[in-house]
Amino acid sequence: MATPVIEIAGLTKRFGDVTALDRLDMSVQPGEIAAFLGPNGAGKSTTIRVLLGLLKADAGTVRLLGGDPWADAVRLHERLVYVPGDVTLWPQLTGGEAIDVLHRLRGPADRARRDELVERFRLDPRKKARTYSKGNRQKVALVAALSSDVDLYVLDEPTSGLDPLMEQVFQECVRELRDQGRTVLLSSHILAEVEQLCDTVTIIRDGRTVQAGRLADLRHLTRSHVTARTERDASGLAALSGVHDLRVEADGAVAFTLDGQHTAEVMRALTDLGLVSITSTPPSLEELFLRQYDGVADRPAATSGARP
Amino acid sequence: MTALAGFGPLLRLALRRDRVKLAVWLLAVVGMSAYCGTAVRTVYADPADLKAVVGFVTGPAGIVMSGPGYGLAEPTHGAAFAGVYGVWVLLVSGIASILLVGRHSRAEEEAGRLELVRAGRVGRAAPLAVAAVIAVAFDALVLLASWGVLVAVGFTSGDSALFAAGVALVGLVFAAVTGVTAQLAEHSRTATSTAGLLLSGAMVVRAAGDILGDAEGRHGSWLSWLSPLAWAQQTRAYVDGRWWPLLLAAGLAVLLAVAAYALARRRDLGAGLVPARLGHARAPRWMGSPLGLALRVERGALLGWSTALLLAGALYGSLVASVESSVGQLDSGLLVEVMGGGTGAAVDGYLGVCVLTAVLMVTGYAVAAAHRAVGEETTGRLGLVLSAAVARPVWLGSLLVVAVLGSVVTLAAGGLGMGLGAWSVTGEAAYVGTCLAAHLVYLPAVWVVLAVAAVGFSLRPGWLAVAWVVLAYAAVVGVLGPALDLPEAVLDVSPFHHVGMPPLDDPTVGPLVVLAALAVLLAGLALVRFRRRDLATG
Repeated sequence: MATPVIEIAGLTKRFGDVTALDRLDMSVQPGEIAAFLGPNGAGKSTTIRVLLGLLKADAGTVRLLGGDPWADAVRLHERLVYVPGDVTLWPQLTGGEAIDVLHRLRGPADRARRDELVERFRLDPRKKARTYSKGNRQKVALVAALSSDVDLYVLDEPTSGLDPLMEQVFQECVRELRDQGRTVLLSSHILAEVEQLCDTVTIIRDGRTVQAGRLADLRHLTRSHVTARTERDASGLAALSGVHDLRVEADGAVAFTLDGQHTAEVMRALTDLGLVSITSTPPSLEELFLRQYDGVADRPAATSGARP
Repeated sequence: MTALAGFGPLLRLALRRDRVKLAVWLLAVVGMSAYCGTAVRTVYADPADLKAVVGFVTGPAGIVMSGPGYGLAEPTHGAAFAGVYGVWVLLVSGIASILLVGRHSRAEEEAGRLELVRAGRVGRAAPLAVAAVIAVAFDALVLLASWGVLVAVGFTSGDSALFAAGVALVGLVFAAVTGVTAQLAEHSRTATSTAGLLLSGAMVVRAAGDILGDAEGRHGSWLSWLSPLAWAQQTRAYVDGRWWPLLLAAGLAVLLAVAAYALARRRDLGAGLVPARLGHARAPRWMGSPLGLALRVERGALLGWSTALLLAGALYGSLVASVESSVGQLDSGLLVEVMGGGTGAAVDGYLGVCVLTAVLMVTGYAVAAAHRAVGEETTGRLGLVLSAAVARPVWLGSLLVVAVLGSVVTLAAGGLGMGLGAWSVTGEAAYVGTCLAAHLVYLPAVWVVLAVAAVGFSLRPGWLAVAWVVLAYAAVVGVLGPALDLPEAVLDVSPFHHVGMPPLDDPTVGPLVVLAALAVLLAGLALVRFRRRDLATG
């Protein structure tokens, strides 16, 4: 296996008495579109800022593109771009000027690609940055980032201010990056977007990784929704391990949720009962996500955001 | 009145947020009166001592620094306090009011907090009304507290009330000035620095007017009367008090407040009155480096300050002929004693004080330019720049280079203006070189203050403010030092003290080299230290 693009193990970061990151782990392989999920204040932006060498880790190891993000910051930054969640630009500069400045600070960029993206994102590059809305400021940072020819794209909630049309454009751009074999770290709250774009998911809570892996595998590990119609009464299935929340519908069908690893036994039992029809829906990412946070709202510690 | 809806809750919120700063500034303004008043009465208890020290600060140089000089020929303690130190109390009061209104108007709007507030049941004029009420209340407290303190120190009650009212009304005028600039400018920094520039302008106009008056043997001239600072001074507190000049201040404050209110009703939230224009779709090549970017961001302010310094310098310089004629009327024996020379030395002394004023302004500008670093970091722009392939020392270094460049350009502009002004009235071209040199020789001292700013920033963004403390200390020591007879050790802490008072003093190379070396050393430390700290999040 090639060297991971991002390899974080046991990362801890404290701001005074607040522990923002608590032994966090994450790994992103080359060519992956990796999603980074967590509720507000879970530590996503802090992790990204450590990866960019803006914050120094208190403990743990962090490797980025084979180097140390703190010590080798400048050398590594030639190979990555970053789009912050809340983009602030220089009010005196126009959007076009800001894009060019960001390009030149990093190194060579593709001018034709820049102009194409300005067009696709419907950005007026002659307007001063102070007149831009949040979405337009984000477009400036996105155009500057996506027209750069680098190995890693670090995007921190890049679409939070975009309209659905522009979000579509953004998704196309990320797919183009995937086709070129680039690596993307995408922190996002828009789960439908993550579901469509991402190969792997890292979910964190209170500065700690609670779930990580390929999206397909994660789905397998969680419960599907099953609705089945059988010739004989199927309410006895509730006794089987792996079957939860079983209820008998008015029309005699049974609906339950099913743990992925017990699929085979439950299917056999259903067949024995004279299976007529069955629909099985894999868990949506939203369900995956919400399950990780079930009951979290009762715990005040989880919602106290740890922004420096 | 729906325009004022929400006034009560907003006022409570503002007072809750600002209670510490309000108290500190009140203490600063009142404390300055108390300190100077006490110092005059105790240090120069003997009338002969008083006369000697007042003689030291009269003449053209003293007029530039203090005022028209009512009652200083036969000084009483009150006249010395109001005539020599009074103007500095006025300036502090003006600064306090400018910052106060700036905080409560444009800064709120720029941060976007006002948007949240105005979306509630809050009228269009309520936020400005809150700022106005706080300013009026603050200046009323200044009046009462200053009055009480001066009476407690031992001055007569009637004149103390007059002086305190002058201090409060100057504050109110500049509060109203800021109310207007806050409507015109989109950024609170621009709003407060424009108001600050107008306050400096009021000081320059007053100084020039008083010099003109002195040449004709009078206290002040028509030009002085154009400056709100002069109105307070023309009350002749502790000499032959009169209240009517303060009516001008009150009238102007009301007029400006009405103008600010009218402007606020006409414009959109978040916008200035000057509409934004379309710019370039592409950036020129030079802008694509940390240095180019810093230069582009600073360009407007640099042009503005250079122009202001050029004009102020020209005004001061063009008064050299008036200084010469007023010195000619004076008792030459006194001159020899005070200035250590004849008319030429008196002119040089006058220019020296003018140069020091310009240098203090330029240092303020340079620290403000360095202060951009804090804004870049807290808004997150710095994170964006550093995520590109820019090393931290290169970024901070570029910012410092631009601030240094700014100090060179603005000082040169001030020197050139003063030299040309003096040349035009005297016909002596040598003034251009003399004035330029007298300005530029201060550069190493300015850079030391800049380097202190860099060191503070490299430890923690907010600590850049240490440089403002150094500047304030240097200003007080540099201006009041001779009159307060401060010990040498106290003077030595100010970097400007080691330059001397050119063109009156010939600068010595040794201290300048030491200052420059100190600046380089501190800046180097800052660049190294800045690599090691976490960035504050935007």
